[in-house]
Amino acid sequence: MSQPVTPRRTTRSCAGSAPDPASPSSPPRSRPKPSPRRQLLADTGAAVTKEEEAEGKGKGKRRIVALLEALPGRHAQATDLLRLLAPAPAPPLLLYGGAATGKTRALLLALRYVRPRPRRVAYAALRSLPSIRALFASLLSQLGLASSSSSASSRQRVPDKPSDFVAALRDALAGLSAQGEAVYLVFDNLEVVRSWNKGDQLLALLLRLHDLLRLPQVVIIYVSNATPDAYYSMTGSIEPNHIYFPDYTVDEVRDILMRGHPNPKLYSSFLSVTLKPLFRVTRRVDELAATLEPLFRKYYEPLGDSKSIPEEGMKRKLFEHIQPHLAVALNETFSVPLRASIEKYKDGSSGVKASAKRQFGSRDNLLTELEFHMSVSAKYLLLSAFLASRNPATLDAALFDSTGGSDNRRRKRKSSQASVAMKDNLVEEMLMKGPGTFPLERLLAIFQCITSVSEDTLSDVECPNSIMNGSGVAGLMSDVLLQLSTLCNSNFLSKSRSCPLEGSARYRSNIDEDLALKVARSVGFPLSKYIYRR
Amino acid sequence: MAAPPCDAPLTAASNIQPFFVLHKAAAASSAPASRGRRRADSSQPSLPGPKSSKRSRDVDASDEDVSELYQRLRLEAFHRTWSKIQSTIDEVLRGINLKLFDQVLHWIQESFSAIRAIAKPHHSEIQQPYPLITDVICRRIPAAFVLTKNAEFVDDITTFRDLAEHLESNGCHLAKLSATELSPKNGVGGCFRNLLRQLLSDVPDVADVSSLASWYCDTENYDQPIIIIIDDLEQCSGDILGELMMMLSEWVIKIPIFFVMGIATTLDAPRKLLSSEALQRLEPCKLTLGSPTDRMNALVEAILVKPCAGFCISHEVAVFLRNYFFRHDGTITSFISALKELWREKIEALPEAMQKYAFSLPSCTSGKNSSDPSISISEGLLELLKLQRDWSAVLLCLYEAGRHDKVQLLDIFCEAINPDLQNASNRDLFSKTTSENLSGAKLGSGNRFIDQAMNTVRYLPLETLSRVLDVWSAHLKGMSEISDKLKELQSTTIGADNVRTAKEKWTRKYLVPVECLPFHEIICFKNVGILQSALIGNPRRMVQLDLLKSQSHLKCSCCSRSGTAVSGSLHDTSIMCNLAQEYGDVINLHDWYIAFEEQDSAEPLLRCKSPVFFGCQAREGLILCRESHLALRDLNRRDPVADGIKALDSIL
Repeated sequence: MSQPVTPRRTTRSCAGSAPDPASPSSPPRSRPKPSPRRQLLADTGAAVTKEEEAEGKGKGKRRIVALLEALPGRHAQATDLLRLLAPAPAPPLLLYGGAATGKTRALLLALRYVRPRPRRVAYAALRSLPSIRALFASLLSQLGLASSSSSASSRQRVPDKPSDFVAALRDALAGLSAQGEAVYLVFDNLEVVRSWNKGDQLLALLLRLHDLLRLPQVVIIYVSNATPDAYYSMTGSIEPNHIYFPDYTVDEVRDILMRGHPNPKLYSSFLSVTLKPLFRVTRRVDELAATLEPLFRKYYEPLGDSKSIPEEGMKRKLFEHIQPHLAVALNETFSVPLRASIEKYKDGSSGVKASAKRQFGSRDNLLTELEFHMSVSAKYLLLSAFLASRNPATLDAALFDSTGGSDNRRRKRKSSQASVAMKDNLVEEMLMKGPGTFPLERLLAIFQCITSVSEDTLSDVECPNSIMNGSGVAGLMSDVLLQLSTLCNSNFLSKSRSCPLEGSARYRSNIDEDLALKVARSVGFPLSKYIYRR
Repeated sequence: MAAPPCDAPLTAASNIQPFFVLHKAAAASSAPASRGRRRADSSQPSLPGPKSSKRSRDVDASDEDVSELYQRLRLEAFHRTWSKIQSTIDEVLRGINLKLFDQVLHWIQESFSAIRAIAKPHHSEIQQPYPLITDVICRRIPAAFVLTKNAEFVDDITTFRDLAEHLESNGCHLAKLSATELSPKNGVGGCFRNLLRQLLSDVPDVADVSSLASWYCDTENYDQPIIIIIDDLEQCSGDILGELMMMLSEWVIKIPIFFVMGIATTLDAPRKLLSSEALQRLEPCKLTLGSPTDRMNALVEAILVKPCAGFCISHEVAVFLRNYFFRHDGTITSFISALKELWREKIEALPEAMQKYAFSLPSCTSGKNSSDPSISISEGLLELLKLQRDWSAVLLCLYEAGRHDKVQLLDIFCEAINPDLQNASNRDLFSKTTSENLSGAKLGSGNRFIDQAMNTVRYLPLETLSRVLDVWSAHLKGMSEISDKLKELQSTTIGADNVRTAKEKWTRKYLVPVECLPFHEIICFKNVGILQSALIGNPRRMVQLDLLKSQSHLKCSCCSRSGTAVSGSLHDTSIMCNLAQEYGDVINLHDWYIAFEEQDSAEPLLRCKSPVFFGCQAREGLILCRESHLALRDLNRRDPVADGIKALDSIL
């Protein structure tokens, strides 16, 4: 029952003032598979129709009850909505509050129950409209007569300029509201407009729409994440009424999550364990629902199926079972599950695991640790980029002399208190700044240094009786720039755009130390010796 | 590139050649020059087939028609056999990918039914601009992250293309978005338009999601999910992609749009790229491709170990290939192109080898058969093939055991093909006790992987061992003596040591490297130098040649004379390339161009009929030239000749 007002239906119900079976609040016909919730809505809808027929006194009350039923924890907001929407010559209305607090849902449901019935509702979700023109086109086609929604005519009529749009909008609305019933214009996700190209102008236009149109039968409703202060400092238009949707409390969230659950007993015992700790992390219902869903599947795993009802002892067992998973979920904002079928497949192929661990070649270890394949020279290049970003350029000479540099650093240790403090400041500053940029020349120099140090050991390990070693082709230097582009493409390095004629493009490494250490381990490079710490 | 029509399905793979830095080209360009005209003209890998034959005809017309005929026949033979190899490669790779494809399809079906279980909106409901009011809080787009496990992306271009085909043939609606579309320049609007253009036949002037909704309501489109494939997530702009996700997530119940995204590195990539709000809108799922090493093993097994191609490679070449794979490139693509080059070279050299037979091959004279000159070549070849078959069977058995200890086939292969192995094992027989002590270190390093594979057998648990034995019996079907012994081993529940000793015996007997066999010159490819220049030098050489001989591409009347002298009307980059060759050292491109510019202004170079060559157009050429090395992705490792021509075209 998610579709209160199709234009055509409303028109019909207007033409004949008698109660119409096809009126929006009547139960839907030929719905394939109504969910329990829909059934509920449909029932209340039927009740309302009956109520209308009887034209009894408690009509308004019944409506509110039905609306409140559908909006748990939103008592005040629902009554406000019905009150502020009802008389047609109403000032604009702003619904605001955090994400996933039920603003849009409350509004859409309230519009379904508001009396007199809206003649038409035009809804524009600004997030799903890619451009200003699309917004204009969408609104006008929703307001236009049923026939004008065909693509051919709308293509001709889409205005480009805001002034044209306002004129067209007024024309369309004037025709509709002449008959005395209210037309509602809803702008959802108003906050996204600010980031649009020419968003400020559009925002000013939308907020002044009430003044510009001057049509008493048109009610303009904004829905936004941001508070009213974000908008009304910029225009001189009249301030709309606003309704604040606060975040849900724990109990409200529990009520919402419990609604329509097939096994409420099991689920409530689950929620009593998990909801409170997770609620400290996020209060958004959608995020909570997304996090709880896999946890619940884990929760009833020992029971075997989700239908059974656990007794006390079992509940404790289930709690112990879920505890570690909960701890993980608390720390993870974005978890990506591996598909089960792959795990099975992997188990089959990697039979012996523990047998002779020391025999594993270094390269194979890397594949399991690093998770992806990279050629050895790309790895060295990545390491040198990491070092170049991490270390100040002034230290290069000390670190990478002919011996590989580690003994020079020993000497630096004994320095005065003051210089140590100064260096601490320097390090702190570096950390605050993040990875530094470096020119290509520096990268190549470091690369040459660290490969020349490790080349000998590498060639011993990698290819014991290769004839290629001396020839230089198998050396790592040959296609560095090729590897560089690979690294840039995989976002490990970022390259600043600059004039290629000057050749002054600077690079920056984006990897964190963990990954760098993993890479270093996979090629047997003593990275920690080269990282400048203090 | 010499892309015969037969390998059209894998053009992206076979067309790809790595590029190199210009100033390092000296060695590579001198090397092929020393090998004579025939090689330089006819066997350049990157010339289109008809063109290459035309060119060779030009040269050989003065010589004789016969050689031209032979050349054509050879080319034909090459294409025919290569297409066979190519199809084997395709099959192998497709077999590996198919597992993933089926998983993706399964995931799509699951997600689709999950979404439909939440709500099955009516057509009129779908077209409403406002969201459905359901009780289930669902705004999450199912998204599959496909980990390609290779930082280098080239191999996966074909994989994702095949995936798209596979899904489309299974009824999904498909759209592909690439990094160029998901760039800030396009914005989310442009990106969405692009999406619509791939799905809708008629995209309205002002497109928003509702036009997609009304398209989806058409009966022929309804009831199938829409899949958006983004093959290189890392290169996309996170903002734009995030915005697109937010936009589509509002509609996900009405229009089931799923994402399939390729990630080259780790799962950190989407975490770093996308805002947390966008991530919350995804219902992620991880899928993994076979790692490059897996694919490599499969390829080596199909092409090199099993005698599919009819040629084999020497130890030297194998080691070169392996090092190239692990150290430099790490792509299957370049491995395949190397194989192709090998095969082409083999076909070229085959007649010579046969000719040599008349003067007796060194392997026949030096070996024990030298006393018996009557042995016929056909017998010898048959014997060789049989030995090859046995060899590969035993090698595969070794690998089967070794893979339980993560031994790679390419490693075992390199070792097994080493001619020193034979000598060493012979020596081993003679002085078993001393060799342990004296040359233990050397042997140990030489036989590392084979020994490891042998040792694994010892540690295998019993059920794994019997599984291994089953696979062995499949491999060893043709070899009667071993398979009997194997049956014996299988029937008696054996200790692992039995198996190991038996295995050792066979290994010593059958694992004779090809280079120790008579007649191996005919089928064995040994020339590393050609391969090196093909993999490393050729593309670079192409760019250089094109720059040096730009007249032949431009065909302008003023520069028509085909001399090597630098004429003033040449394109700046060509002039510079010519001069740099003479100069013979690393040059500063920028300074040279500045110098050219000053020269230009002093004496206007409008002699050429195409004055646009100079000034800013020339600069573009320079940028192309320079960028082709730094930003290789721009040229996308395509055909160097075509790119060279394109570069010149764009200058024109």
